[in-house]
Amino acid sequence: MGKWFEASNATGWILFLVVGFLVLYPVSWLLVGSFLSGRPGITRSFTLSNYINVYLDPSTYRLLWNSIVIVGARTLVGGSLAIFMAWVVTRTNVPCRRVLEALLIMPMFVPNVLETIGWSILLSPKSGLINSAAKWLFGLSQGPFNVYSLTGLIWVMSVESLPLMFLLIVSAFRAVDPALENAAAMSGASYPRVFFRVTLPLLLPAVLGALTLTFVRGMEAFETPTLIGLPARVYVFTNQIYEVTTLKMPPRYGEATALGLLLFFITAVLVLFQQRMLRGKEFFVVTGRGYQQRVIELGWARWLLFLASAFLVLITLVLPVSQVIVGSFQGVPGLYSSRPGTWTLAHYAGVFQSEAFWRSLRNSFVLAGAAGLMTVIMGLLIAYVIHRTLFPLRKLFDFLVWIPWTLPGLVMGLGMLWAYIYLPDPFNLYGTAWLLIIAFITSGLPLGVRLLAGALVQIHPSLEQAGWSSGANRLTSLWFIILPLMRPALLSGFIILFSLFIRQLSTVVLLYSEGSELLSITLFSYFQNGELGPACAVSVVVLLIVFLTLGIAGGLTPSIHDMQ
Amino acid sequence: MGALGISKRLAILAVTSACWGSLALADHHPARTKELYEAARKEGLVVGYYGTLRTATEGPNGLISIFEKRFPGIKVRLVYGSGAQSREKILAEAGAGRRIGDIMSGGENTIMDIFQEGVIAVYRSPEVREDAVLVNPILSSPKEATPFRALAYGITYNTELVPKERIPYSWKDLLHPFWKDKLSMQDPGRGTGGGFSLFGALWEKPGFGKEYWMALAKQNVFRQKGSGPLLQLVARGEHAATLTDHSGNYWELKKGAAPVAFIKPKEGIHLSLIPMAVIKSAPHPNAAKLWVDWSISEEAQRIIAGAGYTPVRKGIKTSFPEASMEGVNVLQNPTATNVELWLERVRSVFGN
Repeated sequence: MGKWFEASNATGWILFLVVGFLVLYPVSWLLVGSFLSGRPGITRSFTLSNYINVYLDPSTYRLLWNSIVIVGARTLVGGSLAIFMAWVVTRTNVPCRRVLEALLIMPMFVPNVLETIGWSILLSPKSGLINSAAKWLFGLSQGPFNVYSLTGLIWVMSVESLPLMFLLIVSAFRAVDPALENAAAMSGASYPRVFFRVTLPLLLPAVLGALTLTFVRGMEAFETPTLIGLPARVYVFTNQIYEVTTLKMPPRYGEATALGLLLFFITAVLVLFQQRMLRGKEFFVVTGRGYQQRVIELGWARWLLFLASAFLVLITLVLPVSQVIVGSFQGVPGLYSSRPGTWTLAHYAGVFQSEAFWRSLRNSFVLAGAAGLMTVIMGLLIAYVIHRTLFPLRKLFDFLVWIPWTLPGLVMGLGMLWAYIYLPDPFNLYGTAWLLIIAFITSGLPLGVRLLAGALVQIHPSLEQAGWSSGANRLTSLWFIILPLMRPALLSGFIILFSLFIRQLSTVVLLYSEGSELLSITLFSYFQNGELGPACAVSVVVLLIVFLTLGIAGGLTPSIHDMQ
Repeated sequence: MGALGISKRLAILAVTSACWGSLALADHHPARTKELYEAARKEGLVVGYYGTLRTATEGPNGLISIFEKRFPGIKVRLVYGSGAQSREKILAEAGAGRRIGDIMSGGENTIMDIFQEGVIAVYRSPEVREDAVLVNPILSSPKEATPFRALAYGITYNTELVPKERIPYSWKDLLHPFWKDKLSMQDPGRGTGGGFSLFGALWEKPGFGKEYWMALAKQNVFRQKGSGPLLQLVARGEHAATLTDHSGNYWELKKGAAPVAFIKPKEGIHLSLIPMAVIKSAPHPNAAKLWVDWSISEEAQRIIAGAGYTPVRKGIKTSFPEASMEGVNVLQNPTATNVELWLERVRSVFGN
């Protein structure tokens, strides 16, 4: 028993209890809510009808199949492209590698709503620019693409998944010791053989991790399935949950929580599977021993690869973003006409005159900044406890941190609303900005811990042990050895989390209140109300903020590679 | 006695504006309004959960700014969201006894649903008078709330895609084969929103009923979940016409050079009312009532009309002729009282 409460574990226990509360308290309300005939706090009659309605309904299993097919396709398409591009920028002499890499990561900071708006205009069946171009080029009578379809949904979701997967996989490519590849090449193996027989097997744990993460994120994705899937009547878990809780009257929250918990079990199994796959794997890179990245000289073929990569940047970043920027100056976004009034600044004027917009801008900035900072600190400490201490429950802790991503944000947000509104004063945070900060931290921990753990495990324990043998304690060596080595990762972690929180929508949509409006919610509600022009104008403001943040951070960090 | 101090001068200015503010609202109940304002000023704030109306509420000439000028000392904070989100927040606040919102504005069905949950205080503004508002359906609307604007459901069509001889002057014109695969509407299967109430209104209309909807369903109408950008899709030519309200979006599209026109079919249009309800045990009940009363004053209704929405008060000049509902035949909404029955009827036409 004494071992469980060793001094070095005290931080672990405190963190474990805090995270346990943040994650499990709202989940327990959801569990209770799923067994009630009405709402928690009002209804006291228990029922199994929510589960019976959901689990005995064949449409639930169609929904499950749909979700697996769509998210599976997204993961495969996005994953293949991410692996290919990671190989291109780390292993070949393709021109402008660093720029390409930065531009491929950049869309990660673009709000999904914005990308969805961009694609919904670009691939509109009759009026979309891409369809119009295809009709003009090939003399077609009608456009070949329809964004409001199963393939349209898979396409947009795949494009959106690429940047995060690329970020995770490219860092794994860099972590692979090229000596092994060099040895294979020197033994006469061809480039493809080296890639498939050496590089890929070495990368397998990291690639599997990235694919699992993308799959889980895809199952939880909300904006695109709602804005594109619903009009196309393509249902997945999240847009079905949105429909029964937000579009239908009266809302059916019991069924939504039962559905959400089914999704939770599926993704939890995946996460456990992934953790099992990674168990025992070591990723130490910063060992004091330097090495040179192996680069394949491609000759003229490097220009072909460059064109292919540039095309990918065009698809993932330039096309949707430029459509939204152009749309913000159009009377009707997507309507190109020679009539007077086609081009206008009215959307910006309307948005800038709105007090609610300025409030939401200020709130988003302050709250995302504060939550980003707190998540980075917590993420580092949690990663340290999980990977560098003998804390007895560290495997459980690792899983606990994942839970917020195994539940759809809408359902998690509902659990948080129920959970925090019933806390007694002074702990009742409903209606305050603190509740949003807590929501941000809870939803950001899975990524925060993963990013910082990724950087931490690359620092060999021997560096820290050297500090201990010189008389430093854990805290001193953490402060003087680990922190300086991780400074770029901490800063990049903060930027990634800040951008995530600026865009965060599904978890906070039920939690904001008077005085705590957020930019992401303003943006989504414009789109929902059919006010595409103001939605585009707000999107451009969000983009400016995010890219400005990245630019400032770029001045503080040596290069984008530090983000990995 | 020297010159008046700044604070005193401000106080006199505030009292003068307040008196003017009271007069601006209360042609008929000056004493009541003055009393209400005094009580509201002590509360200092009104918080409303609102759906879309941003173009009318925000900005230097929007409802919020003008109200705060008319009634100094009272701040207005509107939290925008869908009806279901507002509903959930209000129910959670009521359940936990931690009330923040004073007012909710949403569709009639949403307000009636939440009223049945027992969290709405019955408040009908005395400004809703036969001589002041459009007679129907305002006066016959549920007495628990105060309608302050309306959504006019007619037909918006793309003038470049619809030839003159196919302009739908009647709802039945949409049954012509020309309209196959060219129409859109809000999904009536939601149990709320304009698509649902329009479904009920035309079902009840003699000569229409289920047969009309069965025939229209065969036209393969695109049914949008949520309000969404239906008008935008018509403007861009994705659909030739939509059975929807014109609201503020239509006016924005017209200003943006969109090739669209709004038709009030000869059988009548459907007016979907947007009421405001005061929440039971609201933290600022007097400020809430003052805001509700003022929202249907001539001044507020002019602002609402100026943003392209349909006012409920008589004699208010609208931004464009199509928005005026004076003298227009109105189809009644029968769906507010028996949602399940009407949903069953929707399913019998469109399936699940």
